[in-house]
Parts: sequence; structure tokens; C-alpha cells
Amino acid sequence: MADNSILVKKQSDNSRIIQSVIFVLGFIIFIILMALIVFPSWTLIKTSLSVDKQFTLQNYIELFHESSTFLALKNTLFVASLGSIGATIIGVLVAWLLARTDIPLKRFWQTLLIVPYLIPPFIGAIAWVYLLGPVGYLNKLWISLSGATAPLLKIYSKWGIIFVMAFYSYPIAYMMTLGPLRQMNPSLEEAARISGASIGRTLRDIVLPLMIPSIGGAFLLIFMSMMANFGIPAVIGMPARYYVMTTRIYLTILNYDKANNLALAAGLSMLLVVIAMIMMGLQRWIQHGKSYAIISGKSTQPQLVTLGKWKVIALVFLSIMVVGTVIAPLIAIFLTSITRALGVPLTVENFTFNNYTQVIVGVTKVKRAITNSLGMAAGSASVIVLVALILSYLLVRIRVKGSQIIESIILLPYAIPGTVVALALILAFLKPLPIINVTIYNTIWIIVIGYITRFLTLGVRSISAAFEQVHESLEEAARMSGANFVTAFKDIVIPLIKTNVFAGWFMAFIPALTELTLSILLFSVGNETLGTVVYGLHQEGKVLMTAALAFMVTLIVLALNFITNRVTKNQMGF
Amino acid sequence: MAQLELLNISKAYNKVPVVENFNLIVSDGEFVTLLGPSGCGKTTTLRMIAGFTTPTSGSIMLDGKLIYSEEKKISLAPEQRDMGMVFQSYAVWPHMNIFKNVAYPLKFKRIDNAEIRKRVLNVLELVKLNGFEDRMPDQLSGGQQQRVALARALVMEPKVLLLDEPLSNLDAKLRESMRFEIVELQKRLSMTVVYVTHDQAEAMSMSDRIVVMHDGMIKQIGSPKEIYQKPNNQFVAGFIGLANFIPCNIEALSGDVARVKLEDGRNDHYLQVPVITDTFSVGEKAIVVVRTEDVQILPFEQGGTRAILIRQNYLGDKSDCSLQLGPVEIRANTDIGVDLVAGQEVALTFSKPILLKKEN
Repeated sequence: MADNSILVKKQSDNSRIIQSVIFVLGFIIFIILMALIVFPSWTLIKTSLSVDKQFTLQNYIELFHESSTFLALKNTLFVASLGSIGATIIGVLVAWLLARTDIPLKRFWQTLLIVPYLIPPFIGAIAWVYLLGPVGYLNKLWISLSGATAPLLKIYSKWGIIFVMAFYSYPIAYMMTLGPLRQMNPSLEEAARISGASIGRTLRDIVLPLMIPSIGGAFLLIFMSMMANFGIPAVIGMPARYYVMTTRIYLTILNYDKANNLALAAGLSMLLVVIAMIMMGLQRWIQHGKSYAIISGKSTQPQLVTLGKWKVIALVFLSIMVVGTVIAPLIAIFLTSITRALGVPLTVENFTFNNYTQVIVGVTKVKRAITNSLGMAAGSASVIVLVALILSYLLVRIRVKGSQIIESIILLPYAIPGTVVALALILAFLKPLPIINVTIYNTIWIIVIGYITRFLTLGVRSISAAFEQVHESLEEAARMSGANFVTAFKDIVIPLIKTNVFAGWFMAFIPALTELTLSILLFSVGNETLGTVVYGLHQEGKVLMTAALAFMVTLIVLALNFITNRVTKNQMGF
Repeated sequence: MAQLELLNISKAYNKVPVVENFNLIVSDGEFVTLLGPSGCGKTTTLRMIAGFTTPTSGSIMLDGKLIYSEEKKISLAPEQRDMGMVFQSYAVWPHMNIFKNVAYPLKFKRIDNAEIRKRVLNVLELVKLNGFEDRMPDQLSGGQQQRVALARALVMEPKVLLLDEPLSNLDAKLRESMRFEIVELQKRLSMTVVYVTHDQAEAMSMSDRIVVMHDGMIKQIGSPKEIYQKPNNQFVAGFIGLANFIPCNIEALSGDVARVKLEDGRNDHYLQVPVITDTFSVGEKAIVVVRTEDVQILPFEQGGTRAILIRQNYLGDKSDCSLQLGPVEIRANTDIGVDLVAGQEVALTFSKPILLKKEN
């Protein structure tokens, strides 16, 4: 008897010790997160509101005296609005076609339509430059076919930005409206039909109004992502001197001649953040406030609309979307990457793989960048997964108080435009860290911190979802059977969340690998990333090598997503 | 209101039949119920009437006009059939208030707004929802939403009213009161109604005629009384109420009475059973159907068909007994007045036995 009770006591002591350890770890992580997220945010706000360490609105006054500020604001709102409208219309139309009509080859379209979302946006922009730039393939084709002297479409313009952003963001609208369209209770439409409404009337009076929360939510989400986008306006807008807020902030930061450039950049960033916050608030309101319970409990599927003579038009539309957003740009990059020299005709004799060898072997910074990016992305992803495991356990299992606040803090670096996050990190870590007197600015560490804070929310979301799915009773059943905390965790929880942990790692690794927005502001010589060297080569006009590297990066990203999809059995990735 | 005719309606999915040779004429002002277990094809048939499902063959006529014909390649869209429908999930549109919901069908008739308002308020009063017109659906209970759905179907003064298990999502008490209200409305407005349900009590209490369906086929059409007292096959006999099926041999026939032999394990017993359906021949094996409430249990000495008690469940006003009658186990739901012992021999008499053909 006595022996047993000692054993029991020891086991429960172990469990309590482990739980305490987790708590302590969680607390430490929380403190670190505060240092890495709250402190830079605070520094950003402070910098925008001070000159010579004194509180003042002078920076904002100066900004509002500059026409470039208003221009950047106007341009941002212009391209984001039109781009979002375009992306939302395309996305909802595609979702409707795939969810509610009898269009053929649905699985084929569904798979391919997600790909544009996976290609790094700035690479997509570069590809479109190859297609519709002044000497782009499509323009050259047009000139040779029609005998005109001027190119048909000019990519270097605000319309180019809108066009490319819409083409790459519409999958968001598609993904957000596909589910609701599929699951909507069919009797809502049938009741309209039997009351006398035609198919068209039913769509107008019943389906569309009920889809407004999803459509509105998608619109706002796309708007926020377009507002925060740096890569596309950088590649397409800057050569035409068309600046949006993100590129204007970037230029301001790089304007070392101006004494208070960082303060001004901080001011611009705050303006952007305010708009982003308003949009986020609107999005929360539209998704939670007016959501109608339109999902039917039964598994009855809505009757599919027969397209009849519209089938051909619909198929053409989908083909353009797929070809336009996936195949044409990929072909453009690929063709450029295997061309012997610029401007030579595209014949087999002029094809070579030289560019690939040249860019990897011949350019030192590329070699560096490959190792840097792989290392930084892998390191960040691993840290993210470990931190996410502890945080998710605390948030889901133990349900610590203030979890909403913690989740908001974790979300912040992802919801705020990357350019602003980078500036905040610069301002926070420009000076050496106290006590240890080490400067992390201009080292890989500031980039790594950037990646970790920015993509942590992706890991936490993925692993929290996994913990939610593994109901507490499963662990408890193991404990009742005699297992202690660690054993129960090892035997029950870990096997069940394994897939999600794996997926979470990839969800963080992939964007970190090809990321541009943060690294373009945080890198220095020796700390280049894949994103910055591709962009750099493009800026230097080294078209062939840019194309080769860009194509490789794209292939790697698609392959990684494919692996994630296979491993998680179609639950995540592509 | 009008007459609805379904002629040889069939429906098959990928050669698998779900409704076969459905023939029915619903008279003007009649309340007909399609009754059967899940999967019997009743909802499919209703949806074919409404136009949401296209039959594989046959024809449907409403008020003398062809609304579906496979031969003539006619199939009117649901919005052109001038029918009202109440759905199981009510399908009240959540983004419109009650007034707009009920007024919707009137948008497709050329009526001015004043007239629309008049009709909507009228029909809301009919379903006892006056004053509700400005509320939103999420402010209403299930029963109230049901009435909105009913009002919306009635406001268009349709030729036929279709109801697809409209009461199954309501609690028992509400179900009962809504039954009365629907029938009352129907009689008042002289509506032609096709009602679908799996609930026998609903079918029995509301219908002028019941169409009992099983596996896509009509088993019997008749008034509730006919279905109950004169089932012409085993499925119908067993589906409504509780019935016992006792195998027997036909010993003699004279006029419309048959003398049949039952086996009770020891002796043969003979019963006189009226012959009301089908024709039988002497020597044929048949089934005697006796409803559980038509079995009387008497002390063994009084004579009758011998049985052995297996189990007696006292229910208060009655007892539910299981008895062994020869090779067959039967149930009796009857007022005995005394407690019996398992294994005890008793005598049974049957009132209202029904003779049916033996099916496999």
C-alpha cells in the first residue's frame, strides 16, 4: 500500500512538474514575443511622433505637405479598390461555376486554380513583364501579327499593377466563397423557383444577397493584401514612377540623405496601418455581424444549373484564367531562362541551359542567398513550430486567460504590411541590445526575427487546430489507463497532431524561403535572400539569369506545396 | 384549385428505379397524402410534381393542361407550374422580413403594391401571424416560421399546394395543433393538397385519401378507414398500426366467408374470416392479419385458439402481451384485468380478422 501511494505521488508530481515547466516556458516565450512584437510596434509609433526625442506632430505635418504622400495614398487606394473588385468578381464567378453548374472537368480546374496563389507575387510580376513589357512576348506577337509599331498593352502602369494583383489574388475570393456556395440550403432557392422566380431572378434575389457576408469578407481580405503588397508595385510600378504606400515607404527608408527619413517612413507606415486597421475592423464586422444561417444540416446538394449554350463561354473563361494566371507566365519565364541571349528569335538553336549554371555557380551572391534562405527559412520554421506547440498547448488545453490578447499580438506582424514590420524591426534594433551590447541590425538575425514574428501565426493556427481536434478526453482516457502526462502526450497526442505539425512547418518554411517584402529592407551584403537576389538581378537588367533563378524558385515552391498536400492528405498546401 | 393527374410516372437514376408506374388522380379540393418509410420515393414523386426533378417517363396534367410529358417533350419549369410548396426546412429567406418573404410570389403577377399589401396581410391573418410582417425570420420560432412558409405558398392562390414533411421539425405538441390548422385552412379554402409524410398519425388524421408507398411503388390507395380496415397486402397491413400475421390454410369457402385452419402447436383451430379482397382457393396457404387491439385474451377453459403467454407488460390502461400461437409469436394490446404468469395457457379470440394473400 505504502509503495503504491509513493508511486502514485511521484507520477502526479511528474505531471505537475511538467505542466509547470510548460507554463514557465510559455511565460518566457510571451516575454520574448512582447520584446519582438510590442516593443518594435511601440518604437514605430514613438518614432513617427518625435523629432530629436521630443513628442511632436512635425513629421506628420511634413508628410502632409508633400504631394508624394497624397499621391501614394491615392494610388494605393486606387489600385487596391479596382484590383479587389476585379479579383472578387473573378473569384466569385469561378466559385459559382465550379460549385453550382454542370461545367465539366471540375477537379482539374480546382487544382490548377489554386496555383497562382502559390507563386511568389513578385515573380509573377516579373513574368508578366516578360509577356507584356515593351519587348514582351505578347507585344512582339501583336506587332508581328498586326504590323503596328507600338505595343498593345503596357505593363508598366497602374493598370498593370491592378491586372497582375487581381490575377494573383482572385483565388482568395474563390476559396472563401466556394464552401458557402456549395453548402447553401437548396430549398432557399427552390422556394423562390416555386414562387415564380426564374433561375436568374433566384440568383439575384436570393443567392447573391445571402452570399454578401462571404463575398464582402473576401473583398476586404483581398483589399488588405493588395494594400500591403510590395513586390508587384515594386516590379511594375516603380519603373513607371508610379508609387504606392509600400514602395514610397521603401524609398523613404533608403533615402539616407534625408536626416529624418526614418521618422517620415514611420509616419507613412502609421497611415498605412490605420487604413489596414479600419479594413480589418470592417472585415470582422461583416463576417460576424450579418452571417445568416444558410448552411443546411442535411447533405442535400443543390441542383446544378445546366449551362447549355453558356458552357462554351464558361470553359473559355476558365481556360483564360488558368492559362493567363499560370501557364503563360511560367512559359514566359521558362522560355526566357533558356534563351541564349536577349532579343534573339525563339528557335531551338538558341535554347540553352547555360543561364541556370551561370546564375548558380557564377554569381557569388546567389550561392550565398541560396544557403542563407534555406538556413533562415528552415531555422525560423523550426523555431515557429516549437513555439507554436507550447503556445497552442497553453491556449487550447489550458485555456490561459487573456488568450485573445495573446492571439492578437501573434497575429499583428502578419496582418500589418510587411514593409511596416520591417521598418519597426529596423527602428527597434538599430541600436545595440542592452546588456549584451550586440547589434542585430544588418545581420541575419534581424531577418530571422522578422520571419519568426511574421509567420508565427501560421504555425499557431495550424497546430491549435490540431489540438482542438484531439479532444481532451483522448488524453484523459490514456491517463485513466495508467499513463502519466508525458506518456499520454507521446502515445496519443503526438501521433494525432504529427501531420499538422509537419504541415505547420511547411506553412512557415515556404513563404519564408521566397519572401521579399521583409528581406528587401533588412538584408545587407552577405545576408542576401533568394527574394532579394532575384529582385536584384531583375533591377540590374540581367534578364536571363533572373529568369533562370525565378523559374527554379517557382518550381521549388510548387514542389514543396505538392509534398505538403500529399503528406497531409490533401488538407493543406496544394 | 384544380385536379392533378399523374399517369405512369417513373423515375430512375442510372437505370436504378426509385419510382415505378405511379398513377394517381387528385380531385379538385382533395387532401391526398403520400405515406411511406424513408426511401420509398414519396419525396421524389412530390419533387416531380413541383418540377425540381424530371421524371424518366409518364405525364402530369394539371387542370387539364399538360405540365409534363415525356412523349411530347414537355416539362414546365417550377416557376411556371402555379403550385405552392412548403418545404421541410421552411426555407424562409433570412435576409427578408416576413412581409417581403410572403409578398415575393406576388412580384411575378402583375399586381399593384396596394393590392399586394392587402393580400399579404390577409394571408398572414389566415395563418394567425397578424402583426408579424415587419419582423425578421431569426426572431421567429420554428412553428412561426412554418406558418410564414405556409402563408407564402397560399398567397399566390396556387392550383395545388404541395407539402414536404412540413411538421417533422416541430415538437410533438406543436405538430398536433398545426395538423388541425392545416386541415382547417384546406377545407376553408377548398385547396387541392398533396402531402408527404412518414408519420402514420398525420396521414390518418389529415387525409381524404392515402397513397401508401414502398420501394418506389404504390402499395395501396384508399381512405384512412379503407387502408386501416381493408389493407390488401402485407406491407400496408403492417405499416399502419400494429398487426399480427398468422399463417393459415384455407379449408373451405362459401360466399364471402372462408374457414381457415390455424396451427397452435397441439390442435388445429378453425376461424371464420370474411373475404373482402382478392379471390382465394381451397387448400391455399394464406395469412390472417389481426391487429393487436383486436386480440382478446380469455381464460383457457373458455375455449378459443390456444396460446401460451410469453410475457406480459403492464401499461396501465392495457397490457402489451407476447404470446406463442403455434409456430408464430403474436402480440396483443388489450385490457385483461388479471395478471398472468409466463408459460400460462390462455385462449384467444380475434375480432375483425383480415385475410390476405401469402406473399414471399
